[in-house]
Amino acid sequence: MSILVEFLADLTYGILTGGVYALIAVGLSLSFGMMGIVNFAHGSIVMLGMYATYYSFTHLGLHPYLSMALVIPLFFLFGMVLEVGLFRFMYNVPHNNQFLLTCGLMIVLNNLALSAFSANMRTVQVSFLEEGFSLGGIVISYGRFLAFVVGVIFYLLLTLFLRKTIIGKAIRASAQNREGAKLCGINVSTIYTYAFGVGIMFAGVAGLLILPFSGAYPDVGDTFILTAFIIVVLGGMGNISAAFWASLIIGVAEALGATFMSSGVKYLFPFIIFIGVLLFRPTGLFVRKTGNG
Amino acid sequence: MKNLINKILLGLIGITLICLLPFWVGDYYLFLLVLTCLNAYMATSWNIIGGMGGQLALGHAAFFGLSGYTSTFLFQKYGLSPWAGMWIGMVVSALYGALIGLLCFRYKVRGTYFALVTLAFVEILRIIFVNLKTFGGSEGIVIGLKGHSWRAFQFESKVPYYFIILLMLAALVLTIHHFRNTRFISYLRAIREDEEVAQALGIDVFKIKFWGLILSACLTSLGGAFYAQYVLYIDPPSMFGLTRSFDMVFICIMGGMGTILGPVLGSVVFSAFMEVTNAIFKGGYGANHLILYGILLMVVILVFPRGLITLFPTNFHRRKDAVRN
Repeated sequence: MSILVEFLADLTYGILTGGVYALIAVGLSLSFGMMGIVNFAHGSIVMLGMYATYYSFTHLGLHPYLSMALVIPLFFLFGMVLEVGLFRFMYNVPHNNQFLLTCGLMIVLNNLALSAFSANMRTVQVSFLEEGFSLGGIVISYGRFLAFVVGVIFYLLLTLFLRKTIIGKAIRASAQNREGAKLCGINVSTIYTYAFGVGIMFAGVAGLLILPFSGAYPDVGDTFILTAFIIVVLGGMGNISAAFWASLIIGVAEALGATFMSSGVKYLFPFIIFIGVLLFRPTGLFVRKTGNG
Repeated sequence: MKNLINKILLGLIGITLICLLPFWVGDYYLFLLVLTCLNAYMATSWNIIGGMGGQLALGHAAFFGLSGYTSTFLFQKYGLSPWAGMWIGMVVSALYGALIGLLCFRYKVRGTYFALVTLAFVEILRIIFVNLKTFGGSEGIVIGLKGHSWRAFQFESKVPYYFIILLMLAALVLTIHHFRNTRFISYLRAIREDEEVAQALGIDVFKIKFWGLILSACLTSLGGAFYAQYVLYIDPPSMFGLTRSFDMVFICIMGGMGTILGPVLGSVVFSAFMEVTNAIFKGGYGANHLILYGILLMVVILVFPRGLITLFPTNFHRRKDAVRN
């Protein structure tokens, strides 16, 4: 009986974590799937999102969730600037060089953070977010629950955006066939700028959601980036909804691994799943004919 | 004839200088020199599968770490000389490389996916070694001093280390230079340019990539055993960390992928740049010079996409060596 409760608790906990992973992975999937760029700096953007939230909390007194009003436009702009200033030059560069460029960006961002914010762990204490409620014997903290809810809302908004708005449709079209989209009169390079901005914005929001229950430090992004890549590949390149479901799977796999093996080896499971999937289903777990959206 | 004599003279002067260098510079710079040679050695090893074969393997720390751990463990537990242990470490690394190669190349994992899978394989090792108490867990292993002798691979001064790694590097570079036109390396290059075409021409792509990876793994593993004996302390982050894998790739791409002297040049530039910027920008948690390093990486790759070696006259890097864009 207790094993069942434990199992259910892990399941819930894993799904809640997965909701936050989804935000990181969906953003990565946009750039990875559309532009084919392996952006190793994506985790560093999450880290910057955490610091932005932290400083708006300590200096402006903004509740972490309210600082969204600041983080969203800031990171959207930041993403667009990054695309115009750096990523635009990468599309026709070989993979090896892309890897080096984004790694260079990651090193710059991580060390800028180290230089500006020091290596100390920064945490915020918001009493409400630390309390929890009980659901059939499983205690869930409001912080994690809200993070999950907000993550899902953002994911749903993005799907709506991609399906219903004209820009969203243009993004999907450019991802499916760059030349074809150009022929239809879509300004592909502007669309890439928007898409990249959205991806970076999602990473920023993910940082904001993670901060209340996990401290910020300059290298914190490294822990997310590999998981995020695993999720993106697991779902299939550029497939946003698949990335969402894959996030939940990885979240649950980690949580179950922590209980039934030991907390140290829980990180093994995503990698093993990842290798297995890449070898046996290289197109991802959820393949659909239309692919994107 | 005169040209040849000049070349030989120049070569002799160069060799003499390189051999006299450790007696001339201080202890600190000697330490740096050894690391520079080690980095050059590892980048050259990576170059075989990464540069010549065009497979972006991001998990060479796996071979580095496995061999370092194997030789250290055998030395600590059974007193086996690291000189013997490093060959056993090489076998272990080769087996792990065979596992990766067998899975990835058999199932045709390529490009970005191959890069991510190799990363996953080294992360798996890191997590396992953090959790294995036999191998010191996350605290790592401090290698005990067992007297300064060749048998224990421990020396009082750093000079022997310098000559060992210099010899390893020179042997490797000269061997690759000697075999640069063999079928194996030409096949690797063909696969890098276009795998489908190579296959269509009758090249056994799987076999060539597989043995390329194993060769690269074996060479990297010797560097790992050397490193363990040199610093006398190993732990999972320093042996299996991301930076360990990435540094040799950075150095190789920066210097010039697929060329013979590119990795060596990359390593020299890398060390010199780090040293100079570190001296200029002290403080800021030692982060300031790393910011510049990141910028250097990006600038080099944007301005010299085929590596810094392209700055030199073409007889240093024959055109067909370098990666085409």
